[in-house]
Amino acid sequence: MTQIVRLEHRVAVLLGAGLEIYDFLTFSYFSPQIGAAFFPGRDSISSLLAALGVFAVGFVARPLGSVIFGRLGDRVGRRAAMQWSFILMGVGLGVLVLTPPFSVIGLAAPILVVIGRIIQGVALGGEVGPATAYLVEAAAPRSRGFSIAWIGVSQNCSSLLAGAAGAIAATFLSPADMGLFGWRIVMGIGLVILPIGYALRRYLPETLIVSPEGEAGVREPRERVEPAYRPAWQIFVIGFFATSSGTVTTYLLLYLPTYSSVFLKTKSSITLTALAIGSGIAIIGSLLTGALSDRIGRLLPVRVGKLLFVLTAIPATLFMIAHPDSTGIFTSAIILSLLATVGSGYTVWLVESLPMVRRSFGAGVAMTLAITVMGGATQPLKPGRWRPPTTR
Amino acid sequence: MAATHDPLIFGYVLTGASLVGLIASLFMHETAPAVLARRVRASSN
Repeated sequence: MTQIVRLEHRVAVLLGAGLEIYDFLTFSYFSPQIGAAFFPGRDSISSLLAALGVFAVGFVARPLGSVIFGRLGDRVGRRAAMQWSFILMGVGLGVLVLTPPFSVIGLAAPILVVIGRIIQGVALGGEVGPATAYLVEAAAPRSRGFSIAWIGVSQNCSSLLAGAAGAIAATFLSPADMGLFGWRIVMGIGLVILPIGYALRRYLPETLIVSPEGEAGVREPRERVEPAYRPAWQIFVIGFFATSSGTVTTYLLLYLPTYSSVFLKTKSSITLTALAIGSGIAIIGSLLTGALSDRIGRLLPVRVGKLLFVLTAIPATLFMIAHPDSTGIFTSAIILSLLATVGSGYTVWLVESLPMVRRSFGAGVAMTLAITVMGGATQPLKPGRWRPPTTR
Repeated sequence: MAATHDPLIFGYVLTGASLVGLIASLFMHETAPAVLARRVRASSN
């Protein structure tokens, strides 16, 4: 039996990964405005801290989502899990964007926003396992790496979109209007995407194959050369640390504009261009690395990429410090983004290492836990300095 | 990142994170179907 998975089906799945990064970046950009709208305190810093606290609540809720939707994906199917996670994503985002500010409905405003972020966190966490399992299973065995590389493409396109939307809003809106409704428009773009993605997801061919005897995970014999499965807990631990490494790297590279602005006093036009260059490199690099891993294996690109990154990160940072201009920032952004991409092939390894009936749950929980722990740890600890780079 | 004003903290954290990933990758096994198929063919010859 051969799966027929068309381009629009892949797009439907990839929209979720893109939306995750879009949500992450836009909430980070607009934390000051969100804090002022829902958590008016004695000063702007306490409002901002409250907003970032709400952001953290959403992060902590993610593993819960990966457990719920991971089990659903392994028992009922990937499509059902991804449909429900998308619906919840819409609810969570809608609550944040549409809730009136504290000045209008009082205490109900922050309460609603906290509930919305918990729902959003559950949905984003629940999306990871079924979506990655689906992209691997929907591909021909010899192009799984290339298929899953599109997650990186989707996420980097989202970071470009988030930056562009923030820049456009900052150009045409005053700071007062940005605080009043500008951030809602930018974050609300996600709400426009959601119905399209949901409509496409309704017609996804299911990839979780269940035999007539009720045994899940029986797949077509074509190209069936599967690895010898290790105990799931070993895969889980390795996957957790590999994803932790990738998460910290990705998030820090997304922070590169803030870092170079705050620490190196680089002009915002340079830092934003560096972000765009880094995203472009990552898009191309993801696809090339994915295709390469299908030919030469999963291990070599990951190991070479990580080793070169270990050797390069500090020299690249020193180069940026010595040359906080376009030369230094662009060069470092290109090198670091490329090496980070080369070393990112662990996702397909994690999914392939697990039997079909445990993929959605095992891969989802391992990755989501890592994203929660490490993604939260790399949040900027000086939020008073964290401003949308587009509005500097 | 902001507990210190040393700009090199960016490089330190990236290096540490990649080192963790490198160590994790040493415990991985090959899963790429094309590579596994090549190994099977090589061992049967």
